[in-house]
Amino acid sequence: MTITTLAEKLNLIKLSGETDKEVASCYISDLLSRVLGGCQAGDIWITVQSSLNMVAVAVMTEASCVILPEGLAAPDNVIEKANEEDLAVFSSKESAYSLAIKISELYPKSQPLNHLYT
Amino acid sequence: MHNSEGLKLENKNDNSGVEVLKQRYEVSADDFASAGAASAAVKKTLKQLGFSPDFIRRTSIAMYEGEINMVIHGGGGVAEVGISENQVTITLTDEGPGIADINLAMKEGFSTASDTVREMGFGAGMGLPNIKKQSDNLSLISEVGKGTTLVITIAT
Repeated sequence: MTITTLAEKLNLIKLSGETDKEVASCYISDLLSRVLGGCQAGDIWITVQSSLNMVAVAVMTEASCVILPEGLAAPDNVIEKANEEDLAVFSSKESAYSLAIKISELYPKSQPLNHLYT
Repeated sequence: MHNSEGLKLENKNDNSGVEVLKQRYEVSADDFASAGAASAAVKKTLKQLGFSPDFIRRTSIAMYEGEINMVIHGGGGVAEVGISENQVTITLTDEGPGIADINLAMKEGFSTASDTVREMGFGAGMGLPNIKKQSDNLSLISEVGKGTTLVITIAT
């Protein structure tokens, strides 16, 4: 499943990024060091963190995209940085829990796709 | 090892005959807006040099954690990176307050980060354990009141 398909199926609002990578599993956490240790390449990362550090952590871990739940937005400078890095950031009105259930239904046999990302 | 943009490893270091590309970055204290810039630059270099995705990811995560530590705790510092075909060595040096108990600092969940830093999503006490997890060798030398030097080695 690609980012575009994911965004369509979940009615995500695109904030940044033109990339259309394959998405793998899903990782949810707001503690950035937890994410650096746990988020796998290709994961959809759901977080309430909308700072520049969120962009850096998503880039370092090779997350396929970021979803800000509960209608959260990101500041302009964060969107600008995400576009520079070609990182797809979305906003959703739904909670992280609700998003995770829907992602699971869409992609129940998800696997990390480390080999796809550089 | 070459890439399309002409970046290549050169014999710059010593008489060992090992080709090493050396890079040096200044890391500013408390500058969370540009924190990660050095790690991002190294990541781009490794990509250009054609290293494997897994190696690049491990190096990026380890260096980013180290860079953030210097921003949060070290009062800024210097990151020196040596890239050879077989490994990358990242030396992070700061003149910050130092680490009183290294064994405690290495423990998952232990952190001395301020509330402000925690509100930004850091300070989970996972930084050094994460670096250890991603690296093949880790050397941590610290003296209270003098500073800390962290040497991270990651093999391809």
